[in-house]
Amino acid sequence: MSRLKSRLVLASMLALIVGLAASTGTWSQTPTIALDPEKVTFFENSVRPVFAESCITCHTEGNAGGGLRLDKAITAEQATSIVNRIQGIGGNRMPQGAAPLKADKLKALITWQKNGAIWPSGKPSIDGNLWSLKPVKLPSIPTNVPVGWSGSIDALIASDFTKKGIKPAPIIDRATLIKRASMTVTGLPPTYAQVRAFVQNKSPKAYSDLVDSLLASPAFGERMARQWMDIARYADTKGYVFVEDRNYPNAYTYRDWLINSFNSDLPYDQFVIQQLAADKVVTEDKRPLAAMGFLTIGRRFLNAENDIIGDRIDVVTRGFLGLTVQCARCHDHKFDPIPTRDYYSLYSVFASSQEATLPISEKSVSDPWNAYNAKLSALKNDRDTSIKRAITRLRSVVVSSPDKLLPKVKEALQLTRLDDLPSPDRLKTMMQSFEPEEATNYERLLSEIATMEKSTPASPEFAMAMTDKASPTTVNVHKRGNPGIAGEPAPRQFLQCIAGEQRPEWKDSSGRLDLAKSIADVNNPLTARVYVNRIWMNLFGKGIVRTPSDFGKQGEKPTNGPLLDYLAYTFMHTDGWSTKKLIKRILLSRAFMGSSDISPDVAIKDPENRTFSHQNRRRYDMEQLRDALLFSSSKLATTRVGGKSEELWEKGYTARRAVYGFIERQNLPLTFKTLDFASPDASSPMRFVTTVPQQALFMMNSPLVTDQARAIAKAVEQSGPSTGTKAINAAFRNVLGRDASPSELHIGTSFLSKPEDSSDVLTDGPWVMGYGSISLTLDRVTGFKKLPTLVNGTYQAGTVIPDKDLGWVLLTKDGGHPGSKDVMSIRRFIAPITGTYQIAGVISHGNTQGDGIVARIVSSKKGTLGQWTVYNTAVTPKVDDISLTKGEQLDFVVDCGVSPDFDGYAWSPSLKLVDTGLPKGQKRSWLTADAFSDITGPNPLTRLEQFVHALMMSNEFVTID
Amino acid sequence: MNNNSKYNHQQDFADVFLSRRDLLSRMGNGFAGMSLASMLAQEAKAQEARKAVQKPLPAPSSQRSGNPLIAKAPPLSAKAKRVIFLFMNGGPSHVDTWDPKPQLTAYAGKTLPIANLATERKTGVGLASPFKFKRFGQSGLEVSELFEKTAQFADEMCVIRSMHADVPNHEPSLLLMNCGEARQVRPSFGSWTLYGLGTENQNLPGFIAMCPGGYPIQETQNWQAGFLPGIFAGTYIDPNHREIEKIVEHIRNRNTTPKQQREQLDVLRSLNKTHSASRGLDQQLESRIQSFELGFRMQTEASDAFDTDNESEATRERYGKGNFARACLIGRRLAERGVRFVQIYTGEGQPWDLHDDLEAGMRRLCGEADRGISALLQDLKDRGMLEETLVIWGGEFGRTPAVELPTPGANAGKMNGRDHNHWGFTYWMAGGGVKKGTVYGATDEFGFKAVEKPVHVHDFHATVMRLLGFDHTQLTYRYAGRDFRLTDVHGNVISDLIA
Repeated sequence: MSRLKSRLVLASMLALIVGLAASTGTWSQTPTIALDPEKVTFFENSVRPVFAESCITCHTEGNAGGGLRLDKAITAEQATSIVNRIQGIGGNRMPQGAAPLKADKLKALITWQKNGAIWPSGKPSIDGNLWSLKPVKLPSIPTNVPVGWSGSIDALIASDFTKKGIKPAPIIDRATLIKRASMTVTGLPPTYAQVRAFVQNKSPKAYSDLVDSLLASPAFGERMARQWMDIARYADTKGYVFVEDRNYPNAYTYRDWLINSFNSDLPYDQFVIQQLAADKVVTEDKRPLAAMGFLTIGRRFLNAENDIIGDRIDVVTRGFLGLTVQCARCHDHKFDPIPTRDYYSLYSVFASSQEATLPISEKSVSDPWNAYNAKLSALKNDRDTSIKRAITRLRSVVVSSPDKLLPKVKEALQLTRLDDLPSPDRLKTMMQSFEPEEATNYERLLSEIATMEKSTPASPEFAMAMTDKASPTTVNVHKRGNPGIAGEPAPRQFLQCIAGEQRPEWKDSSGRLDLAKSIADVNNPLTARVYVNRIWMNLFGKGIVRTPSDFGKQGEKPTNGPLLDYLAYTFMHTDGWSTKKLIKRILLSRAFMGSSDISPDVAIKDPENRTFSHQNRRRYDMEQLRDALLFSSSKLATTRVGGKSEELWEKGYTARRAVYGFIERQNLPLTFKTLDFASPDASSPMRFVTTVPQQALFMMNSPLVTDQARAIAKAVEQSGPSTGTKAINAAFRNVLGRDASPSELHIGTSFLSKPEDSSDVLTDGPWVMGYGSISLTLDRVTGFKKLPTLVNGTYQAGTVIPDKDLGWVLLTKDGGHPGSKDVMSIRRFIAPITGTYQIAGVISHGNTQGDGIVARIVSSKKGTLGQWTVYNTAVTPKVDDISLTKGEQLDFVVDCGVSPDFDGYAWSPSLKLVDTGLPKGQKRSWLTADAFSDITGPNPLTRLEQFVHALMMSNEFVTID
Repeated sequence: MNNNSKYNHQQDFADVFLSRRDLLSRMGNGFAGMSLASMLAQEAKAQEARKAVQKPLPAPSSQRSGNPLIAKAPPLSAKAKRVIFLFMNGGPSHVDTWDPKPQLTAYAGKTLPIANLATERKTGVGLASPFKFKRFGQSGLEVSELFEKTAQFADEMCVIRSMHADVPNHEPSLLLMNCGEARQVRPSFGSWTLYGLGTENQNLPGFIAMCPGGYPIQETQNWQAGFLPGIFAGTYIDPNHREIEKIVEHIRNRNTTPKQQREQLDVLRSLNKTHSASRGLDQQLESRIQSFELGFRMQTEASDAFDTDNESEATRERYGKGNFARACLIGRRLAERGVRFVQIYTGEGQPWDLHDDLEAGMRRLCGEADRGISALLQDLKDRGMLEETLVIWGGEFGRTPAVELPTPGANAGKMNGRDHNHWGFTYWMAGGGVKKGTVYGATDEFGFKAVEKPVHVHDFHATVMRLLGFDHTQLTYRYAGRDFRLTDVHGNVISDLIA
């Protein structure tokens, strides 16, 4: 603990001294005309760094060699002179006394000088030139559109693709449509019965009814919540911490709030306001407080406030506004009209707020809990005070009469810091010198605490909320992001580029509610645009703006501005910020129903589908995949909505939807990364899509997948035969929600009719576990058969022991048990290469009952090499090293003696090649355990299970057409 | 699109790795035939040419599979093809290993004639190194007895004695060294490398971080992918484990025999073919089909890399016992198999953090490290791999030449250790095109602070990126409104470190 403290104190001190990040120069304040962004970029990437690296030390404020300062804008003449002097023209070569500039750097400077020597100013032009800052207006709806494209959304899209000479994709079939709509809206596939019903429903309202029912399903809120959780960088842990508890035990209440908000169609403006300032708007129902998890569930950055607030500014501004305000932390935003002061205005808002864990349950739950806690913490406080008082007294004894104390007590005192409580061990030591009343008092408190802790009242739920600090603060701009260099004050107010220069200051409070209202304002040009674009992206796979969290100049412009505006406008003004209405609008469009196949014409004219003339084919994301896997086996638990986070992948994984997965931010398990999960480190605008073999391995080998395959196969078998058309169709219905085509039936039938693989279950290993007997006349093993069943690491005759024919025969990696007289357990080693082998391994039998066992090592060429009777003892078999030719068998045989009872034994033989001169990389030793390392799980998959498993691995299963 | 940087990638990987040409081949049903194909090809060429004006480097054909790990050539010529980064976590003392300070011996037990710089804790008088230094190789590199085996490679080495970082605390310094930023979440050095170069062996992770016994401080953040796709993150392996499944998740098929799995994948292929047939050629679907074949092969090929039992007794003996040594041996096997970036930590927590009992601790740690590292260098050299393998040695910082004063509750009573020191410390590199037999920069006469040709961590990163064939200012990734890079807005390439 002490280590941590000093660490943190130092870290924060140093943050003050060193600063967080330095930009390569300071900014001139002279306003300039809007500059060509490419030239600006060139300057920032190739010119300013050169000045910063090679020139600035001698040409800056207070040290302006030759009167030149490179920490502010320069004139064209100066630029020419710089380029000359660097080449040694017109005076000493620059940089003086240092190596000449490298050719590429000189070239960059020359290019810059020739192109007008622009010097981007730090003062951004708040000129509204940014498309996304222009007011949202209802566009006029084109009328000259193809048949079927007259709806507003469709007309706007059609006029775009018509202009480009593109023909739209045809409407897809109904089975594809219901899968597409279900997967995008609820994240769950339709069942076979639902598909059939929808395909056969001839009502003109069939599709509209489907959309309504999807939006009414609780699964809708779960799907939407998960998508917003990407934006909100949701995690159940804090990230790196040194010793404190790293969990956010209440994070789930934020998720519950999200799910509930989407399902109850909380208007989006309220959705914004509650996430930023629910503390200001809650009434009787305290549950909205959980919404502020949006602000508080970020990383802790070793408790560096600058970084915590930076993270909050980032999640708010990119999440709601599509503005990268965090770029303005060290300098004015290089591309967008966001001065550093705006960043620190928001900083002031969050610096005036504090985290608060607030109960959200009803009073009947929270009142007793609060009373209980107040009492308990008072008791604990008394306990700590009593200890400290006693220690203070002891410390004074050390000074006044040290001999009165035991050396151990003195040491314990020395090792305990002044303000800290001692460790339990040290306290125990110190208590030897407590006065009787000190000890009694302490023990009384302990017992009262213990009594109270035995009867904890029901815990209410808590929100990771925020409240205002007692008095709000105004921070100064941290120049160059450095908290040690104070710039101008940054009063709490909204962004200038949206609210204008004359915007009000939020004087009376932290300003969180004002901030929330400014964001959720119908006149804010960004809020609705950013949100409808996210929704569109979720439904089409691609946004109208392809950089969904960056609506600035570095982001992309909308591919169809009028469409974006139509959606944003109707969302606010017609649909009252209703997410469900927005989604319904889009789902009912002709565009949503287009095929995802691309014609060659479209492939050339619009390969990225910027016109949305067709739909985008998509692979399931991580949650859709996991949910669909469990859904297909009917294992997915969908009745309960909300609740705490659960394990998704490890053994004992939850049957709940993936949205309820426990997200360990710091050490996110591999499977999440493999399946392209959104990093919970920071707000994540969209998922990556990669295709790597680790994903295939997950599908092939993870128990989560094969468990479902087994379950489906079982259901198929219960409803009919396990081969033939009926079985195949049943598998198809469960996994893919449809019947098999004739060619698929053919593929399936021929696969299911393949015989079970009789080859060894082991991957080319030299060990075979079996049974048989010994022919004394031949001195060879006879009748060797494999033990066919593997249950929990044990090879045995069948699923039940004793087997009705073979009795107790079994083999494990450590030993085994023989069966009846002629059923000996046999561990067979098949020499993988020719060579001389050394045999090791102790045989033991540990039972006084029965008559023990007879163990033998028998070669398939040389017969019995040794024989040992082992009864309640351990024997080390002595055998000479033996030459084996490749393929020769060596059997480790155990016979029950006279009685087959109490014959469990341990014998785990190993072999080692003792030859020299073997090829490099040759494996030299084989342990019995090798035979068990591959398979410790349940039985191998049957043919039907394998087939179901193959269907689950198929492209169709994971694809939304 | 403002695609200002040469190697900038968009965030939308589906677009990046699914090139225009692939999209062209994603055609609907019923279109086929040579004439169409050639028409498409021509059109595509023209489009590419037009596009090339804006995009200097179109995605190489290898990237078109949707697999961002496919090997790529770097834009600049470079010798280093892979990195083995030996990370001495906890902060190894430089004045006891690679940076001899006779003056420190002269001032043993005396107040140093320079002010003790602020470090994590209070420090006192000079603490002489208890270890003997000797010159090695033609270059005459002075190295302490602790690394006498590794020092046999003096003439292969480029020793930087003037490293410096920002703060004397483990957490921020580890992140700075590994990710170029002390607190905020940024991709690690290995992730950047993987992003830039891909990896040569698709059957193994491209970036493997090994730390015996558990995590170092700051845990998996040391090899995080940050805002890059998760697949670029380092794969953590505890070399104490021997099971392949701890190394490559789901690598073991526990459900069927290999023969049956093959049959299963064959039936999968038939099903997928039927599926694709009605959808036209779609590169994304095709890539996914291929990924199963890759996965199938990976199962058999991956296990072998980690099985050091396949090495001869003599080799294992040469590396020595202990899990760091074993990690070095695994590291060599991984390098042989084309893993791009291997990072090996000394052990869980912060083993080199010798606030007290420095002498005993150094003997113990260096004993194992010296043997393992020298065996690794020997093997790389014998196999002709050293030239193209960049081996890096160092920790998050060094240690103070002044003794650490006792602190109640910490090293109470002991005064035989050194505090953290970010003001000056040593790194060395070998192989991979570094300038051999070189000592670069210097700390002051006691080893407290880098005074001659100081090399900041950012400069070090810039230089290593250059050794790998990148201009560190150009390997960028656009995220949250700006183009990020390993060195952020910092870093100078130190060309004197490059051959």
